[in-house]
Amino acid sequence: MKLLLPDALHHRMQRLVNVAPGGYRSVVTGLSVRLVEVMAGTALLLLPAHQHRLLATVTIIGIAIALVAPATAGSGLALAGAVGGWLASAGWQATPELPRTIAFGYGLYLLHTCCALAAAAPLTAQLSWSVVRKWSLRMLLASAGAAVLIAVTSTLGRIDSSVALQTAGVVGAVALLAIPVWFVSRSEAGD
Amino acid sequence: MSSPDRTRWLPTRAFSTAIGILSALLILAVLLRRQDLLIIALPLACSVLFAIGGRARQAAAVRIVSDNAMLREGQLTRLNLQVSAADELDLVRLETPIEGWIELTGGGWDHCLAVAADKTVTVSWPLTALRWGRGSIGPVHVTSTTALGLLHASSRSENRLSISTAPLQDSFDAIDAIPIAGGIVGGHRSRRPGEGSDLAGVRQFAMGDRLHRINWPVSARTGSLHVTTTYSDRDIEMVLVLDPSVDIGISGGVHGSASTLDVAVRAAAAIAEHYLRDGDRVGLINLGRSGRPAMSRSGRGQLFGLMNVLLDLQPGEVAEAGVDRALSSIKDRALIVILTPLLGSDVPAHAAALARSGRSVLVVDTLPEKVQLPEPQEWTDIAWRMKLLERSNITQALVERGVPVVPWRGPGSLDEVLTGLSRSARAPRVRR
Repeated sequence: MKLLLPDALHHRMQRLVNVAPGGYRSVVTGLSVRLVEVMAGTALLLLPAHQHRLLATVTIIGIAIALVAPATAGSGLALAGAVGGWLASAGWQATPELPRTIAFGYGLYLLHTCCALAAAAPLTAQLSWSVVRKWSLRMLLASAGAAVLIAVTSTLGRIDSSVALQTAGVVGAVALLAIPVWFVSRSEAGD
Repeated sequence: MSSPDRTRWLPTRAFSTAIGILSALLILAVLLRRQDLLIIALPLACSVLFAIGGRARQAAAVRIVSDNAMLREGQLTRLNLQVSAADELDLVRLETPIEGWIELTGGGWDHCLAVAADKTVTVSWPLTALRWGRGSIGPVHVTSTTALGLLHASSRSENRLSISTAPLQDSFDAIDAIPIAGGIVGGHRSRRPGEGSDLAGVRQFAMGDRLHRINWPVSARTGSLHVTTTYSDRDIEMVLVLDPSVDIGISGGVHGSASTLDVAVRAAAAIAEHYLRDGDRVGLINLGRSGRPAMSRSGRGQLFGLMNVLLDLQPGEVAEAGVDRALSSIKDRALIVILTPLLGSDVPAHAAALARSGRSVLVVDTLPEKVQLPEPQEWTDIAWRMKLLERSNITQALVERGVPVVPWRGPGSLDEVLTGLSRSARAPRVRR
């Protein structure tokens, strides 16, 4: 490990390894999750055709916060910055290519899921293989699905606006807003 | 097991982030007529909907199990956490608080695992007792996470495991030479002739001698009947007197440095175990709490009783009046073993007084070979050297008054002194 890493990073790793119950294995697993976060974040920065400098900075700061303190608002900041960057990349009324759009959506999902896992299992905790296997399998399945969709839609080109899609959007927005309301009311009823 | 009937799941930050981002995407998609935003929202929205729909109903229940609750110093055992769940849980984080000198060797105080529905998963770690004393494990703080990390619930394991670490590591072995074997039966050779196994001599047959004691070769050679005499085997009464007035040095566990109290406790435990195993009676007086002496008894129950006294030993003041009363209650024929670091003059003075009154007294020096002084300052070194000089004078004075002083260096330390005590006990003495 020392041969591969610069001294400063090696010392930091050593401190983490001393704190982490599972030693190197645990730290490496935790770092792998964060590596996927970085990859997803990078993809979100690269996928828009033109990147807005301010929003890209917001995204990078958000990812950095999410890496250091995953249980904070870092992931929200990164996701908001990435969506803003996507909107600003080609103007408000643009219609980006479908494969790129799906890849961007998958990137958002991946970053969010990795941040959720990182928040639930801190770097200092010992991760059992059951957790790694379960979450990896989910992400691999999602990646495979996204890859198939991207491959299929790469032949379709751009999508046009339609009333059906807009209606679906409204219904989706209402449904999503209803989830927390329903959840909170159910929790209170449970008490 | 801690099995809450109805778990109250709380949303995580990931949940609020997902809902916020998805809502923003969908609203913007409608306002800006951007279908691409709907597509972007789709993977995350599906993930949230599936996760919420398939969330677990109950949080995980955890039970702490250990193979042993009473350990020896340095002993290795296993700590098992039985985690069960009615529904599949994405992640269960177990934070195990540990108190005392206990180490979970392979980590384990912070562990994350996934649990399948209706399954009990047992996670296990090696547990090492590093130093004598009492310790505890738990209750385990359990954080159950479901719905892909969107919901979580906290609970605690019902049970908490108390672990006692006896100050015993190696068994202590001493030769069988006890100055005063004073009981009726036992395993030690006494100075009185009687039924036993150690040869005392050969003498002429007298009325009352048993026939099987006749030594036929000697009788044939001398022409008159001779019998073989033996020393009787009897048990002893031993009283261990602990001096907790000073605790110098830093405790580093079983493989680290030792303080004076560590040495005293380990020595007392080893001596007690050895003699109780042989069927002798052993008592204990803690001079810090001299009002509550452990009376001399024999048997395995007494060993557990003495261990409990030793485990609660704390450094503290020694009350003069209480000490006099406790020491005067010791029976005349008991062997008194005083465990002291000889850093004060009060306890050595008591030892000398006991020896003067005809008691068999032995002082075990509990100052470790290498003492680590905490927070050394400018004058610490000189002050410590002066203290050692004073200590040397006290030791010399004790030896001159016929009180053997032996440093405790583990098993076998007392052999030489017990031999000396046995020899000196045969000499006539004046009781004052």
